[in-house]
Amino acid sequence: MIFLLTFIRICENCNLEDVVSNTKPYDTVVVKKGVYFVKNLVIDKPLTLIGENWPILDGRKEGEILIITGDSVIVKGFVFKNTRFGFIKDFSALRVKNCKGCVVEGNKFLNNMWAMYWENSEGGVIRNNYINGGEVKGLGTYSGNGIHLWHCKKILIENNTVTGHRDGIYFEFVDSSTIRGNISFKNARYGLHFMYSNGNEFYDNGFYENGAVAVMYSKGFKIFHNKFEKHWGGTGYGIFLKDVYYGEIFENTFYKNTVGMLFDNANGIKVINNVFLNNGYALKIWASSGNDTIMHNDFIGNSFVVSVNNRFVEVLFEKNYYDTYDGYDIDRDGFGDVPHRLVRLFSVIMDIVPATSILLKSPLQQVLENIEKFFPTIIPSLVEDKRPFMEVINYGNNKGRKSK
Amino acid sequence: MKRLLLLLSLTLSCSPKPQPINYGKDACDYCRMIISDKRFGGEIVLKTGKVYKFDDVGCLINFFWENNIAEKDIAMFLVVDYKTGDLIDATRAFYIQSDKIHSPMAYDIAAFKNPEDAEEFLNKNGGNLMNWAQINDLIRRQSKVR
Repeated sequence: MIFLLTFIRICENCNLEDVVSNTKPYDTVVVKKGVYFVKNLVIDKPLTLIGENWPILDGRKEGEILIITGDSVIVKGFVFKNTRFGFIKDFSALRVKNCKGCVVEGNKFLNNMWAMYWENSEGGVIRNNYINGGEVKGLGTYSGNGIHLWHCKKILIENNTVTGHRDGIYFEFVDSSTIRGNISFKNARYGLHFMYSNGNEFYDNGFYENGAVAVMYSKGFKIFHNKFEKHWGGTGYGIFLKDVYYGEIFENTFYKNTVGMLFDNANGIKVINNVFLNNGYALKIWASSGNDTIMHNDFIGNSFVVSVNNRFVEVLFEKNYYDTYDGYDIDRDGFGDVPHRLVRLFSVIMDIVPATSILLKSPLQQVLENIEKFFPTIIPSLVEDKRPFMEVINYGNNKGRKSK
Repeated sequence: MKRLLLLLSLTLSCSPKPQPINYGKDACDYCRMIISDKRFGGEIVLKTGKVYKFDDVGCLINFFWENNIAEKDIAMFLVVDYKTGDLIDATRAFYIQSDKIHSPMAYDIAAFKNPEDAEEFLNKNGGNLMNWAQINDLIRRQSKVR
């Protein structure tokens, strides 16, 4: 017979290092309220660390705080505070290395350079954490990322809040992972940053007032039920797609971004049932992109629906709703009878001479665009929706229309 | 005469010279990411005075080869020194590729002006020491999507 004996150790104002070194695998350490100075504490065996009443693990700006190298470590209920900040080296409050099945749940990370840095790990959970990098120093050049994953697999990132870091959530070489229910706002660079990561999905997240959400050099992703709001500025994009292949983007809301989505060499992307509301440009599609489908979306209140940088763009627009459509539906089938030209003259002019944006919404713009409408010469005629919807499809949950 | 001086100063100001990288604001001209890691980056300065900025030396090299820029049009190639953060001559820098380095675009190459700094880094972390021609070769052979 084998008895599995595990111990629970209570730690109140103790030296955490000694307590951890005296444990056996699968023990539980309960840490009571208090402030503990912790520097580069390595946890190399399966332990459960539980904080009661928010004990503070203070790094006093001397180094990293916890470094997990064992499997199945559970960390719950702590406040991680004040890692060192460095120029050459990266310091992270919680570093998870080569771990299978680690769980980081219900912690607070305050004023750290990096909050979490996971490397070479598999099957972990990051849930219900609150992460605040403090004031953004030097516009994010000094601070690191909130949740940073590098060479990981099958990680679940759920219901976290990330703000004040360089990138809120950062994926590099991460496969088959899920990001859901998180809120990422006011990060200096990107709310979510995805690089060389294949087969991931993210849904039910909110991204507000970051630089952008960047999906780069990746294949096979699903992005749905998210909100992308108020990404302003010269590099402000709701989603920024760069060198990506085969993605599905559906049922998201893009609200008040400078550019809703940018396609730069984005191939085989399906954009379906999204709402683009009050953006500068809803879409910017560069000629390097191909085989993309834009279908059943609502375009409402955007200054421009789409801008392209070439006469020939291999993107199919089909059955979307545009509030700028002024065609008619005589046969009453729900679709407009004349195609809707999507690229407006002024977006072409503005791409060549950005300063002309000062003439936006002026009578001159209307005159020029009406002339262009009757005698099309400049704008690419290929970018058009042959059968635009006459009524709103998704906005305000008008769901009955979706199936058409 | 005054006008002539003004004209002269205007033409002089167009002579090619490096521009400091505005971290957190400038976007890379190749991968479009906002440049934000002060240990990495680079610039291509054309003879016309036009400056292209990059967040990673890999982006710089890919941009150069994919856009077919003639070498005679280029005033200088610059990279950021890993240790000091200064812009240095890229063609004479010492490069180290190592899995200990995580650069923004995962080319994982650091540049050094002084061979002593490079050697110090090499002794500490390991890696391959390379020159400009070698990293050009290396990066052109890499595929960009896994």
